[in-house]
Amino acid sequence: MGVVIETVALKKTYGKHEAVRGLNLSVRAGSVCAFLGQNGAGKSSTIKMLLGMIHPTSGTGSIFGHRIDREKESLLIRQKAAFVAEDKRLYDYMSVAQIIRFTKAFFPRWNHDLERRLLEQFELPTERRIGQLSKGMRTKLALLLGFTRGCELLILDEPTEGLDPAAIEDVLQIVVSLAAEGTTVFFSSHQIAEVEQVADHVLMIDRGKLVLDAPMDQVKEQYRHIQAVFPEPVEERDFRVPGIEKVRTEGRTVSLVASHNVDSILEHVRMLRAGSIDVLPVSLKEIFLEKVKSR
Amino acid sequence: MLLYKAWAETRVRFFAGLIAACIVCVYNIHVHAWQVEMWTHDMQNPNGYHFSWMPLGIHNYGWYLWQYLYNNYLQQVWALFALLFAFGGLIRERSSGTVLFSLGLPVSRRRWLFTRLAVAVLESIALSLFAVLVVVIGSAVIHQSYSLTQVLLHTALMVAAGVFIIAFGNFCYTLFPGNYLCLILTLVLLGVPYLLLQTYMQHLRYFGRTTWLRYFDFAHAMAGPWLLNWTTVPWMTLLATWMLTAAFAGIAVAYGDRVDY
Amino acid sequence: MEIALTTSGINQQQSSWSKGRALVGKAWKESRGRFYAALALLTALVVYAVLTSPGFLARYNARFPDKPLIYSVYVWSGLFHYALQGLWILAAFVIALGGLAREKATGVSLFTLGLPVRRQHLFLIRATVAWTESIALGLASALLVPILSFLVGESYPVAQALAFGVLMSAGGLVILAFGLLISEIFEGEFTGPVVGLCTLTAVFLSYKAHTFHGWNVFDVMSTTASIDPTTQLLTGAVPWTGLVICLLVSLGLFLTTSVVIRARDL
Repeated sequence: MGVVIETVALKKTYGKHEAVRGLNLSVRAGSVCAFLGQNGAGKSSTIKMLLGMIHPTSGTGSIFGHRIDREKESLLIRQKAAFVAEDKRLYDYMSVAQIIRFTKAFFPRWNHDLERRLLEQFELPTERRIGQLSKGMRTKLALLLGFTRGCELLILDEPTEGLDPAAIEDVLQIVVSLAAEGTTVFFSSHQIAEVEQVADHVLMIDRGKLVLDAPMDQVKEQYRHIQAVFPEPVEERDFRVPGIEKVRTEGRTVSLVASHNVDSILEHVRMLRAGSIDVLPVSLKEIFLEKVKSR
Repeated sequence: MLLYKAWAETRVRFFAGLIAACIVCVYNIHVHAWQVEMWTHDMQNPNGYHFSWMPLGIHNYGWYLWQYLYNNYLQQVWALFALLFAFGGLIRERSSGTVLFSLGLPVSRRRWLFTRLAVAVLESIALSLFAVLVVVIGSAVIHQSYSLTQVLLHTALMVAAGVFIIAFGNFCYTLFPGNYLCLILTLVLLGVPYLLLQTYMQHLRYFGRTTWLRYFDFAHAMAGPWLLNWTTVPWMTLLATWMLTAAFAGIAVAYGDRVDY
Repeated sequence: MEIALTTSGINQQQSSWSKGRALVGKAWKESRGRFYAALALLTALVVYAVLTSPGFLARYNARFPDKPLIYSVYVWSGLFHYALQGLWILAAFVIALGGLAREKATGVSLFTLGLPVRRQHLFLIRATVAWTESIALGLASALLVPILSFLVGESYPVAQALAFGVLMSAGGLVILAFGLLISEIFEGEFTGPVVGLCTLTAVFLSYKAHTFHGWNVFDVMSTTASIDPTTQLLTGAVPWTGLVICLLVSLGLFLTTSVVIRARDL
C-alpha cells in the first residue's frame, strides 16, 4: 500500500507561536486514520496546510505525490481529496439542491447514487435555503457534499460535531463503507469512542508535535495498564524501564502505563517483589490523556 | 458554477444599481424642459448668467445628455456601483465562515478572483446598457432626439475607462475587508486624488495649458469630449487606466495567493 | 467553599456602569474605522473647497462682474447646502450600519444576545455612539471652514460655522435613524447600504424635481429657510418647525427599529 499523505518536518508559526513543530506523518492508502489532539494542538493547522489554505513556514508535504505548497499541485490535490471543515458553514443564500448542483460541477466522479441515498437518509429538504437549516442538518449536508465527491481521500475535521447519536452512527457507517471501497480517510475528532470504532491507525499530536503514530490494533494490543502493590513504598526512579510511558506511585501502590515490552516490565516488577500485579487493557482515551498530560 | 455563485452574491447590488441608474436618468430627462426654460430665461435676461455652453444646452439635447449623465450623475452612480460590484470574494467569506468550503474545492484562488471580477465587469456593462435603455425610452417620452451612436460610444468609453474602479475597489476590499470601512476608505482614496486632480486640470485648462497628469484624469476620460469619434477618444488615458487596472489586479492576485485562511 | 451572592445596590449600579462602558467600547471599536475614514473624507473636501476658493471666486467674479459671488455664499452653496451636506449624509448613513442583523450574518449574534443585555439597550447604545460620531463629524468639518478661511485671507464667522454644523447634525438625525433602521432590517453586508442610499437618492431627487413638497430634511439641514438671501448666513431665526418634524420623524424611525429588533428572530 502506498503512502497518500506525507509530511516532512512540517512547521507553521503564527508570530511567535509555533502551532506545528516539525511534523513527520504519513498516511497509507486505504487506511482510516484518526488524527487526535487537544484543542490548539495543531490539528486544524496541519489539515489546512495539507490543503493549501495556509502556507507552511517550513517543511514539505505531499498528497498523492503532489506538493502541498505549490498552487498548481494543490489544485490537483483538491480534485482527489474531499474536505469537510470543522466549521460546516455553507453558502446561506443557496438551497440544498443548489449547493449540491454547485459542488457536483467540480467533481466528474460524483457519486449520484450515494447522493440520492444520503439525501433520503439524512432527510434533507432539497428546496430549503441553507440559512434556514439547523446546525445538525447543515453538518449532514456538509458531510454529504464531502462523501459524494467520488474522491480517493476524505479529510474530515470533527465530522460528527453537532450530530445526534443516530446520525453519528450513520456517518460512521458511511465512513467505514467508503473505506471498504478503497477510500483513504483522514479525520480528526474529539470523540475517542468513535475513533476506536472506525479507525485502523492513530496519529496523536500534542503542541505541534507527533506523539503517537501506530496502527489501532497495535495500540490496543501493546498498551497495558499494570497495577502493582508492594510491601513497602517504592520510588518512581525504580521504574526506568523501556516501554514504560507513565509511572504513578501512591504509597505502596504503583500504576504503570506501558506501550510495549510488557513482559520485561512485568519481570522487573516481580523482581522488585510486588505483592500483587494486575495487567489490564488501556482504552484509547486513557492513552490519549496519558500522552498529552505527560508532556 | 463559479459565475453563478458570483452572480448570486452580487445580484441585489446589481438590481439596486439598475434602480439608481434609472432614478438618475429619469430625473435628468424629466427636468430637461425646466433646465432649458431656465437657461433660455437667463440668456434673454441681460442680467442673467451667460455661460458659453448655454446655447448648446438649449438647442442640443445630445449635449445635455452628455453633460448631465455621462459627465456627471450617471458616471458617479455607475462608478459607485462598479465599486460595490467589486467588493466581496474569499476575504469576505472568511468572516462568513464559508471560505474553507470554497478553498476545499478544486478551484485556484486566482480563478475565484477572476471569475468574480469578470462578473463585476459584466454587471457594470449591463448597468451602463440599462441606462442607455432608460435614456432611449425617457427621451421618446419627452419627444427629444439625439444620436444613439454617441450615447453608445459614451457608454463604452465610461466602462472602458471605469474598469479601473473595479480593480481598485477589489484591491481596497482585499486590504480592508468588511464592516463597511472599505466603502468610505475607497471613496477617500478615490475621491481625494480625484478632487485635487480635477482642480489642477481645470486650472491648467483655464490658462490653456496641459500636463502629463491629464493621462490620469479618469473622470474626464470616462466622460470624453461631447462628440466622440475614433480620433477624440482619449487613448493614452485609456492605456494608463488599463495599466493601473492590471497593476491593482496583479497586487490583489499576489496578496490573495499569500493570505492564510 | 463560600459563594457570596450579593444584591447590594451599589454593586448593581457599578455593574450597570461597567456594562454600559463595555457596550459603548464595543460600538466605538466597531465603528471607529469608518469614523476616521469619514473624518478624512470631510476634511479633504473642506480643505479642497476653502483652499481653492480664491481662484474660483476670482474667475467667477471676472466672468460675472455684475453678479459678484461673495465668500459666505460660496461656502453655503458649495458646502453646507451641497457637497459637505452630501458627504456628511453618506458618512452618517455608513456609520449607522452594523447591529444585530449584521452580527447574525457573521455568526456572533448568539454571543451578543447571550449577554445579560436587552436588545433595545444594545441598539440604543449603538445609536448613541453613532449620533455622537456624526455630530463630531458635522462640527469638526464645519469648524474647519473658519479656521482654513483665515489661511486664504478670507473670514467666516465661527458662530455661523458652528451653528450650521449643529443644525446639519441635528436635522441629519433623520438620516442616522434611517440608517439604523435599514441596518436592522437587512442582514447582507451590501444590501442595507445599497437600498438605503438608493432610497435617499430617490427622495432627494424627488424634492429637486418638485415631486415631493413641504418638509424637506435636506433643506432643514442646510437651514435654507433661515438664511439671508444676500449673504447666505444665518439670520438668527432657528428653523424650529423643520427641526421638530425631523425629531418626530427620527423618533418614529427609532421606534420602528426598536419594534423590528424585538420581534426579529436572531
